[in-house]
Amino acid sequence: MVKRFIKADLVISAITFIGALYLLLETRTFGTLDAFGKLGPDYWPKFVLVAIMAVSVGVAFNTIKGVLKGTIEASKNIEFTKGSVRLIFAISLIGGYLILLPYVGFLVLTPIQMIAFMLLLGEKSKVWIFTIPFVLTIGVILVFTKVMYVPLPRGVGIFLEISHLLY
Amino acid sequence: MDIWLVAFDNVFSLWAMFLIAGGVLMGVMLGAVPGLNSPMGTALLIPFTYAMDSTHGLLLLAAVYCGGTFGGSISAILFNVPGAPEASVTGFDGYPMAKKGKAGRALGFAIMCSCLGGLFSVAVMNMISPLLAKVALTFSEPEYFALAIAALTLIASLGGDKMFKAFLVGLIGLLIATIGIDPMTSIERFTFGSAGLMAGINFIPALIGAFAVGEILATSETGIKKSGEKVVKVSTELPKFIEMIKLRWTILRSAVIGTLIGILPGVGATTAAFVGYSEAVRWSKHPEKFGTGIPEGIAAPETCNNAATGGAMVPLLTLGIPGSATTAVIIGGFLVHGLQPGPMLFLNQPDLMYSIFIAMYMSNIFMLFSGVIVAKLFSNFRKIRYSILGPCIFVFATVGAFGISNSMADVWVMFAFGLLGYVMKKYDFPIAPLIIALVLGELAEISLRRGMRMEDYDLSAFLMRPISGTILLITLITLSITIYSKFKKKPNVLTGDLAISKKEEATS
Repeated sequence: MVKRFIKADLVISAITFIGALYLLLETRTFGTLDAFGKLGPDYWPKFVLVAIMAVSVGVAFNTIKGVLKGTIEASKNIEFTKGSVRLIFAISLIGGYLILLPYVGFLVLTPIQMIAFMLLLGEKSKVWIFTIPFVLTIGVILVFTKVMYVPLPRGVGIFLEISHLLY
Repeated sequence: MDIWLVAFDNVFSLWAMFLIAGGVLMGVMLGAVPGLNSPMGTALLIPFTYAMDSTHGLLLLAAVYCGGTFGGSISAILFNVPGAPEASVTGFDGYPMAKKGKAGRALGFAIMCSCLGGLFSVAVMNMISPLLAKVALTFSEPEYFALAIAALTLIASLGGDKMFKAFLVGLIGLLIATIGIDPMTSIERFTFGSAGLMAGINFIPALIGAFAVGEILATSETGIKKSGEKVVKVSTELPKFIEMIKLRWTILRSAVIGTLIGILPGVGATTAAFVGYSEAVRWSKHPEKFGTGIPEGIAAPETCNNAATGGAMVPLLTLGIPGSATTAVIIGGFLVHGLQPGPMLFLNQPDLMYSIFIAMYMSNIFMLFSGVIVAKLFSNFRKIRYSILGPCIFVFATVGAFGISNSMADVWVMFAFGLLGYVMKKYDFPIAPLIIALVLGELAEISLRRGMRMEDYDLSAFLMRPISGTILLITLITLSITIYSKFKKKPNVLTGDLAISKKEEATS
């Protein structure tokens, strides 16, 4: 019975409700009303947070009603599949790329990340895997640094020296 | 007249024409490929406008917007897989016509009607925008608050069965818009001591993340499915003049409907297409033929959804309020060039505004050629696998987010919104209300607080002022209709329910 009710919408609305409640408590740090007139800096966030809590309840109510009536599809259950593993890898790949980017630099890191991403998404053509990432990286660097003057991250140490070869 | 001459000079330069033609072609291609869409394409193009002057940058974005709205119809007609939501209705009759071996003819009707709908709405935009901007100059805080609320309630009410979800997403967008230093009191809100959050959440990386990164993550999870579609080689067959004459009332009616719906803040091309189709069914002498592949069934939604493009630009240009998800993205294009869309822009840079008008006329004309070219090449670029496209899009998204202020904080915002976009996509939460609420959040809050101070904290004064009172009243009525329809399970014309029910009637 409990498992039947563990639907994504229900979990999301519960998280939203609790998050909104926490942030509502946080608004107490914004200052008192007397200092800023009748509508202080906390007025609008409080209004929005209370509305979020109310609507979260609405979403949860709809979900429960849907489950009881059998109108919510089974796919709306929270599931862990092979796709979830691929998703976790994709998120890690993006997260890792963003963490390393300031240290390794765009020139070195981007082709590596692209190759890994292409493999993760199931690309099999070696020609594409070993041409597109390098061509695109160099193209983007030339356009963004030489034409648009966007200082893409160069990295530190040896990576900085490598980046200086191009931009 | 001088302004028109300057605008002509701006648009009819070789570089500007190249940008417009290229923008339309790119927009049609983006719209045609399922998984890519007009808001995403426009968001990814914003970084490329950094180095351009503001006029050229905005002409490019406007051209992509026009092209993107039409592009979705190509895959809807050929494969019954709409490249964009607004093209889903086109498939009702476009696909059956293609199945009869008349794909080229179906595409011809779609291209021609899109062009006519677009031109009509740009003409309306051209006529009413300067007038509306003059009226908007008289607006004060209560009017802006009323407009922001009208836009927010309309988008939230568009969720149909997902009305609560749309409201929730819109409210979360409003909450995110409060992050940073309060502009009226300089108090930090929800920054949790992070210096990166003090300036608030820049909505350009947010929308790049929600639309582009969210899509990449969703595709990573689902994997890339082989569509099994046959390679289709199509030669577009433009309709004859006499055929277009036969469709004149359908086209005219749809153009008016599309433009009017487009003008409503927050309601875009998708609703226009549904309503246009439903009205075509209602006025038709042979409603039973809809859904079997008749020209009216293509002409109505295609005219409507493209007419909505010009309509949606009206609130954007005159009031600074987005008429749709893509126009919310175009606001980002204005902001990166240090421009704030709204009535003051008509006063300060009228040549820019008139250049956009002319560019949109030209975009709709170029669409005739781009549509024919893309339809011909469609089978080739459909072969580009997402395993190649996805990583490329990610690189452009990262560079685009970074380039806004040369800061990794923006790239992290993009990533966070990418995760949010993925969750929303997976669990059927609409993304458009989030982006529109992010854009409108500050306007709604500040105009409420300033307006209340102005009116001595009397909320009823907002209702007593003629313009704000009228807007709030219309908003209340619209919202009531939507909620009533939802709870009484009646078809809601605002969400296109009517079209579906009519179509079901017609096909049964």
